[in-house]
Amino acid sequence: MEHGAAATACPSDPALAPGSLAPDFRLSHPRNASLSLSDLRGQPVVLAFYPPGWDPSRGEQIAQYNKILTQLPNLHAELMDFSVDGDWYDLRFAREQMRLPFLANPSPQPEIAQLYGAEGREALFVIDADGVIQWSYRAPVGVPPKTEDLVEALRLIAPQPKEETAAPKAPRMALTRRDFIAATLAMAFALTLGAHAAQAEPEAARMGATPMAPAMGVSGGDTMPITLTVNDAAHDLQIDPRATVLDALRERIGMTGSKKGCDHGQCGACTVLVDGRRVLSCLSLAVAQQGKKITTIEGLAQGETLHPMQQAFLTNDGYQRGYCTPGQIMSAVGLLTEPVGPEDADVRENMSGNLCRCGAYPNIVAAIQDVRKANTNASV
Amino acid sequence: MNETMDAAVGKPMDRVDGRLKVTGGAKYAAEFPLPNLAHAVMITSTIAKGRVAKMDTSAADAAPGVIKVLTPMNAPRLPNDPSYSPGGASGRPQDRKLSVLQNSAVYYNNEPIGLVIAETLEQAMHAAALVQVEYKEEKPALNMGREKKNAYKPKAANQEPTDTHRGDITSGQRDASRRVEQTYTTPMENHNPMEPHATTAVWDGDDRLTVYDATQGVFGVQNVLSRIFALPKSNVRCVSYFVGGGFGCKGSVWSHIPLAAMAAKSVGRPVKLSLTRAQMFGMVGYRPQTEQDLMVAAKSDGAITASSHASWSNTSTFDEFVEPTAAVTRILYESPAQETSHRLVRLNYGTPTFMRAPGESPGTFAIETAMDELAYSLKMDPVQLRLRNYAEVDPESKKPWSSKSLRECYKVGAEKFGWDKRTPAPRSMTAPDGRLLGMGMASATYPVRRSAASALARLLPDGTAYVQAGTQDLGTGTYTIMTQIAADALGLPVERVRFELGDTEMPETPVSGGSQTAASTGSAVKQAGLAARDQAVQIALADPSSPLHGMSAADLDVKNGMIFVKAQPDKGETYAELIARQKLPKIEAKIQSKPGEEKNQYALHSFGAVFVEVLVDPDLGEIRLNRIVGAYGAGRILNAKTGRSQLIGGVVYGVGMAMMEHTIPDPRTGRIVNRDLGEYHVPVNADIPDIDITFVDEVDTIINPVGAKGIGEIGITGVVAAIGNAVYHATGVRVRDLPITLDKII
Amino acid sequence: MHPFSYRQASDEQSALSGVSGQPGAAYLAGGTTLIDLMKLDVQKPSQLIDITPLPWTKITELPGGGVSIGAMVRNSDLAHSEIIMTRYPVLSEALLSGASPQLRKMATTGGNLLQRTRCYYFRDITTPCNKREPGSGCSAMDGYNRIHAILGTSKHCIATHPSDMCVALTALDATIVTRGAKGERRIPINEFYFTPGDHPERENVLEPGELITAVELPAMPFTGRSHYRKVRDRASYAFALSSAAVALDIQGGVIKDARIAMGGVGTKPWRALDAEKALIGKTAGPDAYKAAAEAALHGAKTHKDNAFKVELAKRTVIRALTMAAQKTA
Repeated sequence: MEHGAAATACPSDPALAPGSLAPDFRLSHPRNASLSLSDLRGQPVVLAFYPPGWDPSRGEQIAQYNKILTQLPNLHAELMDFSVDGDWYDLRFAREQMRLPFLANPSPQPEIAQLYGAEGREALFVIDADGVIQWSYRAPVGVPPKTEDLVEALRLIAPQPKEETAAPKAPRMALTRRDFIAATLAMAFALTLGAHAAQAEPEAARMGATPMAPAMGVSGGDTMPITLTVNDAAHDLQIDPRATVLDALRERIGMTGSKKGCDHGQCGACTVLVDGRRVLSCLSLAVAQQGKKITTIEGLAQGETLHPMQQAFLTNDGYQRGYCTPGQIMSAVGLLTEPVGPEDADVRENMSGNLCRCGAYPNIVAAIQDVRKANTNASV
Repeated sequence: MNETMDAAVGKPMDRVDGRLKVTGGAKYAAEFPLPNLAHAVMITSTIAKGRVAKMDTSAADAAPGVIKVLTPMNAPRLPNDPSYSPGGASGRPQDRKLSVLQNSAVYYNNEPIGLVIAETLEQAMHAAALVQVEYKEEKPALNMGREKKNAYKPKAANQEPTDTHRGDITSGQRDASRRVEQTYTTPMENHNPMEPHATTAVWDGDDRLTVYDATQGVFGVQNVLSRIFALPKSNVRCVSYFVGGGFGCKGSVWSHIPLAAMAAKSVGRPVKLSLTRAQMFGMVGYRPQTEQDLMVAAKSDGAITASSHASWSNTSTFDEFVEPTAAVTRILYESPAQETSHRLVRLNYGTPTFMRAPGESPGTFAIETAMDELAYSLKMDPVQLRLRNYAEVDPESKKPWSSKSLRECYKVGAEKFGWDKRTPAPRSMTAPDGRLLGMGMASATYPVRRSAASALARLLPDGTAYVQAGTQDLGTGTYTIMTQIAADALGLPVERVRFELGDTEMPETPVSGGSQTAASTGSAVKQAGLAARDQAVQIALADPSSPLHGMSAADLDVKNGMIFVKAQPDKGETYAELIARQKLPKIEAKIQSKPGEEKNQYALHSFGAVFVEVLVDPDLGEIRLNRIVGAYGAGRILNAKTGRSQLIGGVVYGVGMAMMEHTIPDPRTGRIVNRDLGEYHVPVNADIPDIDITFVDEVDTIINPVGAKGIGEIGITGVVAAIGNAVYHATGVRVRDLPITLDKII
Repeated sequence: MHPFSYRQASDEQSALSGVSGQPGAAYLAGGTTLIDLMKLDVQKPSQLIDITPLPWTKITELPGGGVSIGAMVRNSDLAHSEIIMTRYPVLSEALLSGASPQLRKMATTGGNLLQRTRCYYFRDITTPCNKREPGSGCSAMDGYNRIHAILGTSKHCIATHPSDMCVALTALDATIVTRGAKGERRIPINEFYFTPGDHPERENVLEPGELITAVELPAMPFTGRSHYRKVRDRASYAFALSSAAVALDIQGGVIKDARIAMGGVGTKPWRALDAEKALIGKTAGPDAYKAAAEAALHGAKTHKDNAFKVELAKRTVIRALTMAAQKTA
């Protein structure tokens, strides 16, 4: 289970384990009164952390907010934009000249993210009315938690729906704190799950994930319990023996950084490290990787600091479409520990298992040589 | 509108989406985690012509996890069937004839004939293999040589005339002292972007459809899906934030896209459909095979007196696509007499499509190889021969060029390459290790295109801006160059501008194809940015509380988000201050930008020159590239870093075309035998040498507001011929049939 | 992919017992061939016994001067092993010219011996193939056959053996050590593979359930003067159109002994015994090499698209011999 994974990922943080009191902090906002987490006691709260930086799918999120907001009482406004401002997401509405702050920490003030062990990554904490962490999730960028786990956690702490149909007319700024929290909760939900989360009835979401009844013999429905260790986090999965590491990462764990280009070991886009060696995840069965350490592109950066190879690819423009890039970078990181000669030609030969249809090869070689030269200099 | 200083445009800025790409955070079409998602896997035909007589789905239906199996027999009927209907082939990409289970006809091998939808990918793949298909088979037409007698003349060659004729060929040939007449052939080639085609479709009720699609044109997808499913356009949304390569094959709406939508509707759940690599050989287009008869005749001083270029390419039996290979011959050199023509041969393969520089890629291979042959025949330097026939105006239309720097490209390229060290005789140069050394060159060219595009620029109260246009970033750097253009137009630093794309909810833009995004969407972004900035200026001028009140717009400039008096730079105010005082939620402008009369008055083209050095093993025939130098005049380069990458990428694509790419159909079944990346060879890292790209300075104020000509495709042109010419120089063997593999030269 | 059950073998015994009496069972090692073919439904085991935990991961010197290579030694580790690089450079070179760095990290020595052909038609279950489905016919014979074999073919099959490693092992007279129901067997590599003949589906002498445990290289004093030359369609990451593994014992300019094996042209890793004979006693040089190359390709049978391979293979042999001779023994 992913929340187990989160606990494994940060063993040094027992204070953040489910059941412990959420650390308090104070959010300050340039235009709004400041607010402490403890001020919100009495209602459940979801804390959402997002890595800084630009992400085009925010447009997608805005569209989602609109959908969710139309379902909230007392709020009949069209969302125009949201932006990151300090510790807040500011939402702006077209008709109402109103800003609605959301608890979210994109971490220009890193201390709060630090407090929650969430620097440079997506993280989600579901905190109950007593301020106790009920569920937590921390993952590298782009890795959402499982729908059903989150839905379950939200159901546990969500306030019981009340028949509050006769909502008062919606005067400006009439949003109550309760609405604010409900909206916060919905927002975190939307942000995490991406598109169409609002449509996801918990029951429906669970239906799709119901494990198949174990069949006798080999029928195609059998699954096996395994633990995959990915980027130092343990993932307990019930998995079809036919699932490759690549499909387990992309379709089960939700880590889509490793790419499927050919599914037959002919392109290298799925390259990951297994116990430090670069291998093709599309030709590796997930069930065969127990006890091994898998490292994917999502596990390279340390918080917000990119791995030198990631930085070198960025600086040298070692990509265009970006689809082969995770495999190129993982392969390049693997190469660093191999007996590869110093010349460009050596790098070319030893990177020939990674196709790049955009033809970024010269820039890829330059990026790798930058890192190797820096390493040599550093070790001298 | 005021012109702005260019603080960002042209700079070698790192990609704004780079961090997402190097961390695995960039989301491609198959990577949206939708709740309750079902997986679809396609079943495809194993014959090239006939019909599906029977599909036994009982084993698949009973397999674990299977939700539904769709076949031509049980698939829902679509309101508007995009299947082939006789006489319906228009050849336009938006009118592609699709195979979406509406009938049982089979027109090519590997054509969609069914769909399995299951809980997991493993279950869907297995069940698809359990479906038993019986066919009623007919004899397919698979061989172009054999079917050439049935060739026909299409109405147009892409957007160009099918045939042209100028001057008197016979007298031109009579005046010539040397004549080259040869046939050049190129095989089918597949785009093979690294990201397979994928569509995730979600219905909201019965009449609202969202698709996450790997596409070069979100609005094309919206259009076609709204037509097929009879929905208002506003009810269909297409999202495509990142595309893992297209090169043309993701520019059309192919069968899998409506099939994914059909599947999602029929199971009432979101459905994800990714094509396997093998399934990308047939149903999503390819470059057709071509046969090109070239004739170039010249006087002893090299002056061309007559030329002709007759081209044949294959299309499908049910739709039309023309590879306009002769178009390039019409504009490249002076030739007082010339004939060109395009003919099509119908074969039982899928419909071919645009593939990186359609026409120009195989076309420059033919004409630029013929020019090399002519140079040898005349004992003249290949560069000199090209300069001798330099076209000062468009030889076909006689219109002046909006700009042309080809002469400069030859010069710069030859100098950087060291062309003067070349001894012309074949096999006259060797490398220190004993390998044969060959040097070859060719011209490159691609037309400048532009379509209408819209963009929205919005200044926000916090002093940042966001700018939207529903275009696509195929890795071409659109996110980055649009951010740069918008920042300069708005007078903001790039860090304070967020550019968004890839969504039909955003302002409409054209397909990202034909190297037109920078010119089309770039112009719209620039004009929207300028309009928003002017609006802010007008508001400030009219606001009595503004320090700028009552001044004239001409006296003002905007930099770093501050509107200020040019003559007194400390006098002014920021966008943020203005918006706050005005209590505005935003200042925004949405505009549409359209091409003007320039295309009627000028000939619009990019040009370049590419020089290649090869080393050939004299016994084993192995060809290795040693270095490539390219010089290009392509107007304004909006980002020096991503621009260079794009040209390198184009050249590498050309290396593949020249030396290895070859889609091979089985002669009996029309089934592509090498339908994987193990046997369909594209260049690997070790194939690619240093590539030296130079952009010559070229200011073109005519083409479009941003002055960019588009650089997505010119890189592949010319390089194929340059490699072949270098191989000839090294070995004395002229290969006129691509790809140039070692078996053809040993 | 067809469903299967999966089990890890903890030791040799559990591996053997897992497979014995299970016709649908297969061993899984590096997976680079098996998983690929399972995805294509070419192989459909109902049970996979994962033998990667087995401890055959060592490269050890044998008392007589030879070397034993554990079946689970990965190709990359073998290629970079000091003893292989110095004593049997031909093997290291062959391994490094094969596949890609990632695949070499995965593929095992034992698995590589059992690599399957890349024949397009073998890999496409919708087309007839005698190797995949005995008696169904050979699609390659009249199909597209540029990559196909010219030596050891039969009227039922012209599929090429794809391995580089096996070509080097063939030149080196390797012995394959196996364990099966009948105990240990030691099989010279030249007797390990079958040519297709009337039964292309039978590729080697292994009995059902028999497990490769090691490969032994004999002591051969002159293998330092050995070389692998591979010719392919791109500069890296492609199967051989033609390759040659050679070792030469040259004393005083005269060839005392020679080993020649060829890849990319045979239905199995192709030992060219006649070519070796043609060299012995001759003065090392172009004439001898040319004669050997002619002998090596004697009896080659070409098809529509692969006629070029005859000349290419000859030149490859000549080149490999020339390069090997330049090395110091």
